[in-house]
Amino acid sequence: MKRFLFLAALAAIAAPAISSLGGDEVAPAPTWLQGEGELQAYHAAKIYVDGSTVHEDAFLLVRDGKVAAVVADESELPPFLAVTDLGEVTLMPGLVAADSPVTGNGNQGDRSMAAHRRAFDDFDPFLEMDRVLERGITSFYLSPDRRRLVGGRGAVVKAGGDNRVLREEGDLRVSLLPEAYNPPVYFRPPVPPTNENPIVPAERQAPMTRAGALLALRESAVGSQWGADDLHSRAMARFLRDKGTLRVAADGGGEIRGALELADAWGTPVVIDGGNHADGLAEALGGQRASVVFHPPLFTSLPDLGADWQPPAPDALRKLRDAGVSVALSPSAYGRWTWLLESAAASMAFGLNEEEALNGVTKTAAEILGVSDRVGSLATGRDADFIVIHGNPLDAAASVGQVYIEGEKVWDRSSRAEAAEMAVSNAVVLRAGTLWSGDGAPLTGGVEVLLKDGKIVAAGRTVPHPAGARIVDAGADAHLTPGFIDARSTQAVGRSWDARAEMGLLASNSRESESWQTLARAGITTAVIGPSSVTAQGVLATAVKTAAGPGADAYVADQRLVLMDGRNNSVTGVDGLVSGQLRAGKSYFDKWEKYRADRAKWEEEQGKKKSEDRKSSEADLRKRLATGAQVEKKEDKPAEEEEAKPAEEEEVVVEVDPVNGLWEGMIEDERLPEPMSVQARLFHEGAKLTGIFSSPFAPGEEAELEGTWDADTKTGIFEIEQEGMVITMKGVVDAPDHMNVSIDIAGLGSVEFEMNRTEVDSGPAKTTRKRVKKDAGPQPPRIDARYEGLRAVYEGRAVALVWADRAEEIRAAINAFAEAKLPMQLVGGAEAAEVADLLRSSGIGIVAPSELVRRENGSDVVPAAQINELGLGYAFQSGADGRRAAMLPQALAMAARYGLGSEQALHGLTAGAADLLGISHRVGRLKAGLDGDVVVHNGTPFDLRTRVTHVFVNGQEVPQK
Amino acid sequence: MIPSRSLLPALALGLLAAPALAQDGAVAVRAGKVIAGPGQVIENGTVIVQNGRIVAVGGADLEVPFDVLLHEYPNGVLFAGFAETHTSNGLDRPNENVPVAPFLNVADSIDPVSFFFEDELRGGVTALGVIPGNNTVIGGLGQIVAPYGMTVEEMALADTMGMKIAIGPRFGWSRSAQMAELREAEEALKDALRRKGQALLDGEAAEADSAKAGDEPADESSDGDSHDDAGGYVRFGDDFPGKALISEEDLDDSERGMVDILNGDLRLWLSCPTATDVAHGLRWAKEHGLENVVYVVSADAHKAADMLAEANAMVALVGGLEAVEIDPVSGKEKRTFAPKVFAEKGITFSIGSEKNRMGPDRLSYQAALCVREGMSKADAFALVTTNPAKLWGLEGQVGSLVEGAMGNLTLMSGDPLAADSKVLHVWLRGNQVYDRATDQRLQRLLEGSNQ
Repeated sequence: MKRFLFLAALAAIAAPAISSLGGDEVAPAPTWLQGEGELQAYHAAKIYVDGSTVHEDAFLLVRDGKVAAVVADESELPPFLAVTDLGEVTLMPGLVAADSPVTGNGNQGDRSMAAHRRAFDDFDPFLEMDRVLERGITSFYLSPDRRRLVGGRGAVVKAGGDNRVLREEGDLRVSLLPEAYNPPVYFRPPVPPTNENPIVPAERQAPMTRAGALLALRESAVGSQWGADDLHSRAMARFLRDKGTLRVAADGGGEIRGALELADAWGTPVVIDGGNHADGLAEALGGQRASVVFHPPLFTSLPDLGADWQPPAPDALRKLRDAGVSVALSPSAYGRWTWLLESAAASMAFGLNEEEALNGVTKTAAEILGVSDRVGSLATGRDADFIVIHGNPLDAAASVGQVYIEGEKVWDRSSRAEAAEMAVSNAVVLRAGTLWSGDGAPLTGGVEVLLKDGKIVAAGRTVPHPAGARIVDAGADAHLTPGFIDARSTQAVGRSWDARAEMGLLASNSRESESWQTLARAGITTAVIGPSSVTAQGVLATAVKTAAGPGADAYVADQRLVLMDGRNNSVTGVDGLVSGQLRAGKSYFDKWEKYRADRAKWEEEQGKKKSEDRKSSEADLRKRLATGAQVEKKEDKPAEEEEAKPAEEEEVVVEVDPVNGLWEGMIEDERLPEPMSVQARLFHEGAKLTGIFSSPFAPGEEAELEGTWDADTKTGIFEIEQEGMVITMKGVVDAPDHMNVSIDIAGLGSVEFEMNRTEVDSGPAKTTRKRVKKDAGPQPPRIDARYEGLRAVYEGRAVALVWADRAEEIRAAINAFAEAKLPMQLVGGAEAAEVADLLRSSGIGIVAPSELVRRENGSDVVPAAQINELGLGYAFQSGADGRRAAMLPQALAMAARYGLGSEQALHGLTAGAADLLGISHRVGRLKAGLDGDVVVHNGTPFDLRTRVTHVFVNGQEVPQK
Repeated sequence: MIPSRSLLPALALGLLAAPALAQDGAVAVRAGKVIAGPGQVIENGTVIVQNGRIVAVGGADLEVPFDVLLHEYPNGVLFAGFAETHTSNGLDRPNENVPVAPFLNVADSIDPVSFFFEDELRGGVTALGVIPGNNTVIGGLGQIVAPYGMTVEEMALADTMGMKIAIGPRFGWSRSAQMAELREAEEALKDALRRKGQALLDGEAAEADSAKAGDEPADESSDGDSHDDAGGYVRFGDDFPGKALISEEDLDDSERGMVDILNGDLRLWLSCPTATDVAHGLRWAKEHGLENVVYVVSADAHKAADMLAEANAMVALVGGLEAVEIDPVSGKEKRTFAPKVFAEKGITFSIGSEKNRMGPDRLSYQAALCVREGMSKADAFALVTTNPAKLWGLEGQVGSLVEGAMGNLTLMSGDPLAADSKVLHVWLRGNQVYDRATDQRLQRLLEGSNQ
């Protein structure tokens, strides 16, 4: 094939010269390589040229709105051709609707027979085609009046594109159905009536019965041959002369027989429109090479069909097919006419195979409508009308993603939704062979998981498929597992940090960040982030999503963790270590409890006071309303004016810190290739200013900054030393929520830009607290960063993870926590075996050491396996950040090999960890209602031969490299 | 209504003579502001009308002939008056119940004393195109009139306005039925003409035979009008035997109207309310090689603006100016101001009033809406003055104050598009026909009935 590629390149450069190369060994250059227009290429996992010809992993080539070729081998493509990769989708010809109610259902004319009438006259080129395109229909039939014996000529048009008329004058539609009986009388009074042109009675028109209908048709045909000179007769004569297609609406045997007789007498091809019971006459139909537009019964609701109604026979279509009758498919009038794919699927229940069913809404339909030279297949030279389908076209789950007409994209589900300002469907259906819910044995033999709005909606053998859902079919060998949980990671934090810094910030926009993506791609979707240095007082840690957008979904806010060091090097005082800290924490907690109680009491008293003195309460309300109004006003005014406010308004000032919060801005500079957006979250305490920047110097990375804040001049300064350069950032808050920032890069110049505050963080800054009026009631105690963690534990918002290895350390910690009646879990636990009973009875699990396989006494030992054998709950930690942390699943594969087992490894990394950490209400299992964190493996998880193929966090896929 | 006349020439004579019959006046008006045409403002301008026509337009120094009375309104604004392009008001009913009625003429139906015309005069309108309504296939002939006069002849400003044909379906009809009916009418005409041609050929042959035999030639032109006998009246379509022999007199009213249209002699007012109708209407006109066509559209036709612009079509926008559509996906309402779309595409078009709504029932209000939506004042003004004149083929005759134009003047108390401007005086062909000070109905309305 290499040789061919070379030739193809040659052909593209010098197409005429190629023939001179000649020789038997040289493949002739494909004809599609020659041509004037620009070649466009689309790649899809599956391309249907028509129902019977399918190429896997192929390319559709389009030139000048026509199909140039479908090429299965990439090497056959001309060099330098840009390919639009449509992804894991099916590409097939645009659907052709063999019938539609777009025209022909309105008020009918008053002529019973009007061969000169044209459905095309009713065509509305401005009709909104959205509902048609969204079902993948690119061409459709326009029916003339349906409730007339001779309705007129049908037409075929496209649903989009510049060149919409496929056939202006198509088949002649005749209805033998009772709905065409009893037409109105025809009356046109002469104007003015004269002797020669008198008023005549209104003309009664046929038919009243089927016999009358057939008689009228025969009469009309004969009349048109023998000089009848009205418009209908002329049109009829022309139809008979040109041998146009006769389309007869007929259902029962008698009607069909009549239709066949007419067509036979007139010598015209015939299409039976309807014919749900045509199978009885299959032989006759086949003998006359008739076609049938079959209407599979599809329903929107359950209509009253009458006592006589019968569904088509189960083998109706098989009989027709066997008799050589070609069948186009279009839903019955009780369903929507746009349900073509559904019709195709339903037709298989009446005996068609998949190939014929698909052709019934594409190729065969186009043939029956007489437009197969333009549409209905993707053979070379046909119009490039194709649709992109997620999933197998005849699947219940199939949904049309995009529609192209003559090579132009005319409809796109996502951009259409965007244009209508609607949320794009974010539903994803994952399909695989095996599903590990997180507990116990897996579900095998084909499974599905539906993710929507960031959550798991359903998981099981099959799940619902919402319209527009993306379908990711990972194949029968693939396994689905919950997202992995790293029970302790130091990703994105240093040795220590301000305990009050909001952990959610770390994960905010981590989806875009390269360092976080490394973790997410490894399958770790949740990591408990805490500093590397753990103190005896305990530091707060948070379960953070490793690939999340901004917002509350980025971390588990309601359940925090406190990492405490319960290890002690001295032999004495082991007992007092943990319990001492707990006591200190308790007294800090009590201060807050007291404040809360006092505050509640004070507020109650205030309420009472108010109700006692109605007048004063009203005045108070008025005053508060007045202050409220001023707060809003004040934000528009320059900040300097705040200083001058009278004392009683100062309590409001507390809320509006000039700098704390999220700032956003845009750097525009001619030296930059494009404007760069910058985000900063700033927090100050006194003169100390800390912040997290999405740094303009390393896109995708976040920078932690420390600097100074001058409250008088409202100026913040950061100095960053980076690769020998000193970068100075200076921000001056010149108006509320507005900052002028200048970045000065020593030796290189400076950039100035503006930032606006989009979120205000009201930090309990000391400077403002001083101004609070004395009668404002009890004030909260001073925050003690050291014991904030333990306060969270006492308040029931956190679980303590105590690091202890030796048996007496473990015992001491358990006793202390039992005494304080607080929840705890263990980290490390090297000598856990000695206190296994105590651990079991207290329901305490262990976060296994980050050293997963250890060499002990000449053999490989897996600590987690030991914990498992003791019957204790366990989780795994990396204790590291970045690429090292991302190796955790791989390390576990080794542990699984040396005695832990795949299932145990998976449990500890998912459901077990979630239970132990108290975050099982959000993550850890593949269960409806939990976060949409799913890992797709191409084989058994924790097998060294397996790798992760897709990872979803909060319902969104993490981009794979 | 079926016409009782059988002699069209008499009518034609009557119409031609009509302006002469009306009392053509002379007047000179000097106003603080004279709007000669869109964007042409003369401060302290003077307009002189003699024999019903404008003879001079100039500044304050324009010399007024000694025999012309000069009116001076230093605070007034003078312009040619508003023009309503297309209306079916002033008729006893807009449409006959016969779908194909090319023999109708609104001249038989206009009621000169109807309150409608009086009210239009009060609103400063000096010209109206009255034409059969749109609920028809072939509607009949229209008439351009001034809203004042005791007879239709006195009101008429031109011979005829043109013929109404509707592409938009009649009430209760589908478009294919509408088009089929139109084609049927056309075919019926062609058949009749063929028969006529053959009959004339046969007659000529018989005549030649009898001449050969020495008989006296039959006196055919008994009315002594040899013009009527001139053949070759039918010019459209394929040739057929005797086509060249058909004269105007050989045709009845119904056929004549149709032949005039298909010959392209009459201006055609093609009613195409929706964008779809416009598409089909353009197609139909192109098939017949007709260019003298005004497309009567509603705001919905803005979607077909590109097609109209490409065909260089003239457009009369009637009814509301705003099209409202519902997005099928989101269900949200989308409003489009059609005049703006037409203006952006460079289409020659006019706007009309909406008679059933307070406010939009005045052209000044409609034009002011266009200004609100971003059109320039001059452009908006043109939509209700000079553009209707263009659509009627009366450019330079009505709608603007230029030398040679009809002496139709409207004096208002302020900017014609301003809501608080009042119509003070109206002159038609130099005769004062409205004076607010003597408008008794208005006074009764404004001052109450207790006097």
